[in-house]
Amino acid sequence: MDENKKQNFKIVIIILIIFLIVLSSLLILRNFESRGASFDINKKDTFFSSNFSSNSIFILGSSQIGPLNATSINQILNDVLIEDYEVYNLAYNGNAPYRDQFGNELIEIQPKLLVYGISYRDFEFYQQNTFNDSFLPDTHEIIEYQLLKIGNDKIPLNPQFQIRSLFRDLTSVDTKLESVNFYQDNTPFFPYKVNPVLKSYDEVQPKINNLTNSTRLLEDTSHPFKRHSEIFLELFLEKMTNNSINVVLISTPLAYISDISDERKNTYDIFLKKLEKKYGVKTFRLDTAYYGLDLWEDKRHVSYHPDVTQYNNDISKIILNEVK
Amino acid sequence: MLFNTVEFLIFFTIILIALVFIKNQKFQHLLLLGASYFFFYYSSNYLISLLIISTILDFYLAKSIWNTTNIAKKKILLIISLAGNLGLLGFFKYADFGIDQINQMMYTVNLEQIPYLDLVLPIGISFYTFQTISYIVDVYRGKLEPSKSLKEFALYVAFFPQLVAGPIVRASVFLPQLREKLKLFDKKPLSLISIKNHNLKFGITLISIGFFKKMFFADNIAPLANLVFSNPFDFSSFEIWAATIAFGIQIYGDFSGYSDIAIGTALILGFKLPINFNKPYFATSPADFWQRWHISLSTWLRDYLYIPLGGNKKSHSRTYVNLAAVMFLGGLWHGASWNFVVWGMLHGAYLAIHRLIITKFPILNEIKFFKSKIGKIIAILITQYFVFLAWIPFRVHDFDAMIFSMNKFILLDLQTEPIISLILANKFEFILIFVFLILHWYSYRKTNLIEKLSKLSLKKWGIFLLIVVIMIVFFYNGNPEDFIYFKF
Repeated sequence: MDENKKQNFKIVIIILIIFLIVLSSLLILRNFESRGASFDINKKDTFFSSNFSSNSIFILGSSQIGPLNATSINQILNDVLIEDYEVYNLAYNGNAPYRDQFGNELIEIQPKLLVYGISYRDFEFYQQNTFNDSFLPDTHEIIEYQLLKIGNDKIPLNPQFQIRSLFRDLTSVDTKLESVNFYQDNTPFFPYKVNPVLKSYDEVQPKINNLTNSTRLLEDTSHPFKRHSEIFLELFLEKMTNNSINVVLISTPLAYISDISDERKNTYDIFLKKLEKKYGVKTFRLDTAYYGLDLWEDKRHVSYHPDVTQYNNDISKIILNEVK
Repeated sequence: MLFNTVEFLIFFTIILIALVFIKNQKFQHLLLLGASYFFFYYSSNYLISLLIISTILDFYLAKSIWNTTNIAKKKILLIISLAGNLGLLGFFKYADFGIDQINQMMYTVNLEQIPYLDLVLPIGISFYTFQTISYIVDVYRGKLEPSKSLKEFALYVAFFPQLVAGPIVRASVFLPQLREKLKLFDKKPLSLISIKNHNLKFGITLISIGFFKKMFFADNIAPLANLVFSNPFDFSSFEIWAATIAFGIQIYGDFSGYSDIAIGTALILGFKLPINFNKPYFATSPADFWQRWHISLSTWLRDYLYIPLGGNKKSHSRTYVNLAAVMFLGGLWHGASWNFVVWGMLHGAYLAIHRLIITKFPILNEIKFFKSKIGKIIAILITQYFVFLAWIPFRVHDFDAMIFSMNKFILLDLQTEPIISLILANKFEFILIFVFLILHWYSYRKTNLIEKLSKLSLKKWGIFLLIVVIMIVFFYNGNPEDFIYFKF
C-alpha cells in the first residue's frame, strides 16, 4: 500500500471512530430520563405504555389542532355524558399526515373516537410541486420513502432536548425550551406558548392581503415531504376503518381562507369528498365556518387564550354527537 | 438532494468508493457526470431536460462563435445563447411574479385576472445559467477556447458539489482542471481522479466547518429571527436589532456553510473551486463587503454586467447608475420578489454613496485615523450597520412588517425591558450569537485557519473533528432548515 493510500485509510478510520463515539454517546444520552424530555415526541413510547380506557378519545393533527384544550373538552363531555371519557390531544408541531406517527399505537388502544385535524397546508406541496405527471421514475420517493423509509417513521431525533434537559438537571438553570413553553398532561407533545396573543381578524387580514401569490407559494412549498400527506392520510383511514375505529376529520380553521385560489379549494373539496365516500368518515369544515372570527393567534392558528372557547366548544359538540 | 441529509452522505460515499475502484479516466468522468445528473434528477425529475438543453445549446453555440470570423454572426449567436439561457431562467423563475404584477394592475381596473402558471422552479437554475453565460461570453470575447468535449463541458455545467447553490465557477477555472488531469493521465494512466490524502483531510475539514456553520449556528439561531420576524409589530427596537443580527448570522452560516461543503466535497474529488466568502462581517466599506460576500456572484456581476455597462470608465453619474442597475439585477437574481429588489437597491445605494464620498473627498483616504485600529473598527461598525439594515427586506416579506422593522432598526425606541425578557427567554440563541462573533473575529485574525487545522497531526485533527461533530450532532434541533440559497 503506498503512503497516500495508507494516510487515506487512517483518515477513514478516524472518521469511522468519530461516528462510532458520537452515535453511541447519543444513544446513551437518549436513555437519560429527565423532566423536560418526557414531553418530547421521541418519548411517545412512554406515553403509549400507559393504560388507556376503552372510552379514550384522541385528537390528532398539527399545531393547528394544538390549541384545543383537551382538559376543557374532557370536562364538557363528562358534564353531559354518564360514562367517563378521557380526551387526549396528540397534536404536535408540523404533524402532517405524511408523518404517520400514531397509527399502530392507536389500533392497539382501540379508542372510542379519533378526531383528525387536517388543513390545506398539509397538502399544498402535493398540489404545487409534483412530479406525479412525469413519466420518469421519482428517485426521491423511491430512495427516501421506500429504501431509507425517512418521513413515514419517526420525526428526526432531537438531541437538543436531551442536552438541554441534562444541562438543566445538572445546573438547575432553566433553558428556553422549558421556560417559554408549557405542557398539559393530556396534551403530551404540544408546547403552548406562555404568552399567546389574541389577534383580531382585522389585525390578521391586512397582512394576508399584502402577501403576494409568489410569496405564499414559496412559503407553502418549502417542505418536500408534504406531497405524501394525501397517500398517508388514505392509508391511515384505511387502517382505522379495517380496525373498526371511528374517525372524524376536521378541516382546521384558517384566517386566510378567502385568499386560497378556487382551484386549490376545489382540489381540497374533491379530496375530502373522496375520503367521506371511500372510508365513510364525517368531515367538518371549520376552515370555512370560522372565516371572519376574532380568535387568531396568527393567520394559521387559533389562539390558545382564555377568551377563545369556541374552538373547544365546537370540537366538544362534534365529539358529543359522535359518542352519544 | 440536500447536503445535510442521509441521502447525500450515502450518495457521496458511493461516488468516492466507485472512484477508488474505477481506474479508467473516461469512466471516472462519466461517473462524475452521471452522478451529477442523478443529483439534479433526484430533486428535479424531468426538469433535468432544461439543464441538458442548456448544456447542448451553449456547447455548440460556443463552438460556432469561436469558429466564425464574422463579427455580426458572432453577435447573433451570442444573442441566441443569452436569449435561450435568460429566457429559461426568466420563464421558470419570474413568470408568476410577472403575472402577479399584471394581476395587481388588472385588479385596480377591475379586469379579469390571469391564472398563475404555478411552475416548479428547477433547483440551481440561477447558478448554472450564470455559469453557462460566463462560458459563452468568455468564448465570445476570445478569452476562452471552447471545450472540445461535450462531456467535459457538461461536467462543468452540472458538477454536483456546486450545481444548486454555487459557488458560480468560471469555465476558465474548471475546465483546465480536467485538462490538466488529462495531461497527467498520459504519464500516470490510472490516477486521473485520485483521492489525495491532503485533499481528503482539507476537504473533510472544510465540510465539517460548513456543517458546523449551518447546523450548529444557522439552524439554531434561526428560531430567534423567526420568532421576531414572523410578527415584528410586537417587538421593540433592540429586539428587532437582535433578530436582524440573528438573521445576518443565520444567512452567513447557511450560505457560507453550503459553500464550504461544496468546496470541500469538490476538493476531495480533486477539484479546486473558488472561495465564496471571506469574513464579510469585517468589511470596512460596502465595496469591501462585496469583495467578501458571495464573491463568485459579485465578481460575475462585475465582469459580465458592470464592466459591459461601462463600469466606472464613463461619467460619475453613469457609474452610480451602473452600480444601482447591477445591484437591482443582483437583488432580482435572488428571487422573484420585490423584497430582494429592495435589498439589492439598498446595496446599490450604499455602493454609489460610498463611491460618491471617496470621489468627492479623496482626502479621506489620507487621514491617518481611518487607517488606525479604532478608525478601522468604526468603519466596520458603520458598514455592518447598513449591511444588517439591508438584511431586513431580505428576510421580512410582508411589506408593512418590513417597513416597521426597518423603522425600528433606524429610529431606536430605547425600550430596554423587552430585550432583557427576550434574552432571558432565548439564552441559547444569544449565547450562540456571542460564540459566533468570537469565532468570526478569531478566524478574521488568523489567516488560513482552516488550512492550518487540516495540517494538524492526525491525532489532533481527529480530536478537532470529534469536537466539531459532537457540537453538530448534539445540538441538532431535529428540525433542520433548508439551505436558504436552494430557493434561488
